Amino acid sequence: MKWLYRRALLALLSVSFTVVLTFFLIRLMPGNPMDYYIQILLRTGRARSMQEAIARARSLMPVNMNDPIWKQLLDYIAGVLHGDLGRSISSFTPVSEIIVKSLPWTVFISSIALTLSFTIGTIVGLVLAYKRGTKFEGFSVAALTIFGAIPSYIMALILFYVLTIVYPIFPMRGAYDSLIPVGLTFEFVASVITHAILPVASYVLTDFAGWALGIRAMATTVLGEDYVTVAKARGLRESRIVTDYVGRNSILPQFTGLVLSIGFLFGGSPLVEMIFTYPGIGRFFASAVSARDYPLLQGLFLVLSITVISANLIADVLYTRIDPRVKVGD
Amino acid sequence: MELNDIVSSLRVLVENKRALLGSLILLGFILMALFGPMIFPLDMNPKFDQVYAPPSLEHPLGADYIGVDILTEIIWGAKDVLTIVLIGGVITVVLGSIIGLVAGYFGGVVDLLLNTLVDIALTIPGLPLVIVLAGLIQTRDPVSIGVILSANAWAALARSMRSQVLSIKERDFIEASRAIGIGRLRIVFYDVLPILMPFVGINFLFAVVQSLYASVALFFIGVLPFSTVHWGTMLNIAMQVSGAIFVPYARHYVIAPVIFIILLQVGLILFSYGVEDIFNPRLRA
Repeated sequence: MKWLYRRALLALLSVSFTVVLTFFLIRLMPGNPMDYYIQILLRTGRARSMQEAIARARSLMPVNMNDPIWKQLLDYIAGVLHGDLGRSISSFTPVSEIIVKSLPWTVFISSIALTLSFTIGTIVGLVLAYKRGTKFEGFSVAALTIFGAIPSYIMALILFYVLTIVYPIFPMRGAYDSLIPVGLTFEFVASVITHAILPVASYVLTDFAGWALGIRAMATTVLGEDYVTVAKARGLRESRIVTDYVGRNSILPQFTGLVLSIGFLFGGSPLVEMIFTYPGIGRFFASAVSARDYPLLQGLFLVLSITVISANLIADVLYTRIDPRVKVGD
Repeated sequence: MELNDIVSSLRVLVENKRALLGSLILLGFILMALFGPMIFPLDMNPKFDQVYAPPSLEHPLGADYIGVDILTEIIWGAKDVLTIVLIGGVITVVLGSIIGLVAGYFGGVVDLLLNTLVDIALTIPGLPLVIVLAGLIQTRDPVSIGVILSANAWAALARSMRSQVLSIKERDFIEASRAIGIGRLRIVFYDVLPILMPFVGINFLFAVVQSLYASVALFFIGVLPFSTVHWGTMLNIAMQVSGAIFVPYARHYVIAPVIFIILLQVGLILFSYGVEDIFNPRLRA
């Protein structure tokens, strides 16, 4: 129990650290983001006078930039606790609203991607371990190494290029066809699925290799154990040996990795979502960076960090339940 | 390392197919980055009659959206890509090693503080942090970019370095150094570190792989001011600036950087597996 409190305290510490970090990063940068926004308003003619521009810029931030820095920090923390993260510079929507809208899309595609890569990787890895020493195995391991080396965003770019531009089979952008009314109709669901295929495939095609190589290494060790030899001597069917004897014993270390990937579910990849203009949290993150939309960037990074930190906390607690052999603490 | 060790390492490297292929690819890239720019001068002046010219003898990989030769851009880009990636790897490894060594050897309050710092750094999502930092600190200086890339990549190494130190700390010869009154910092860097050098070396390669992943992402997303011919920048231009990706006759401009990025990544990974084999004879079964 004492370990659990320590772990929770650490998570809390990380969250506070991130809150203070995001605050200072953005406040202390040369070229105050506020002045930058006021300039934009004046230059694009969206505000007619300096006073109007200042008033509009003020309403974006949850803090008053003329206050002393410690009061700004306290106001900022109070705002965060109330869910007030300011407004986006580019769209003027509250940051919290953007997050509530985009987070489900990211969780949707990344949870499918994680499940698929884990399942496919485990099956491929087990098959390879069973066929060890064959030419097929050598060739497959080389192919997996190369697939595992490709960054997911490069895979996304290749898929985007080949399957939406050269051969326009899949839709290019968005999470669903905007002409189809939102609802639980067949058409809408089908549209959501076809839009999700390529982003999901970008993750799966690069990630399954790592899972496969991991379980293959583990299963190769298990295959040398005496109980597997005995099982073979007893004349058990191969499929039974692979699943019940080897599979079960080599899958446990894989769960460590799976549990650690929970953080990925909420973050996704800014680049993959940017390439497919998928309206998840990563895509807003990418566009906030290039548009220098500081309040949005600050809010997204904060929420991203908090979800990842909490996911890791839950993962750690879960893991001690799955494998009682894990020694708790250092 | 003695001559014999070097010879036997080289033999393992040549016998191990993955390592051999990896080192050949890396050697190619290093030669390209070192000597390429001397042989092929980069002319960034727009030549509008050459826009998106297809591959030919004059332009082996074709020309880009303002008619500049793509092969020359790739060669000059290799220099930028490798410089940034190496600096990122070095900073990550130096930071991670020092923090891990000190935390593991000193123990007590120092360990508690450093270990908490490591825990915090490990929980903050890596790539988003790097992107935010790069977006705020607009810099073209390769060393600063290297520091940004190692923002929290050092933490994982510090963690594993610390546990290595904990096991070495109790060995007899360290005990002996302590007994004759050698200072703690001296023991850490003269007695403990040399034993861990192979471990540091392998982790340097892993850090380089990681900073390649992150740096290409940074340039691709367009956060860093693009003054360079970095391959990530080429992708950014193809995808978001010139729209070359949507133009059928501009295909070569998208394909060239993609192939070189994958090739470098594969070379690095094969090479790091090979080096792991050399330093870890137990794997050599």
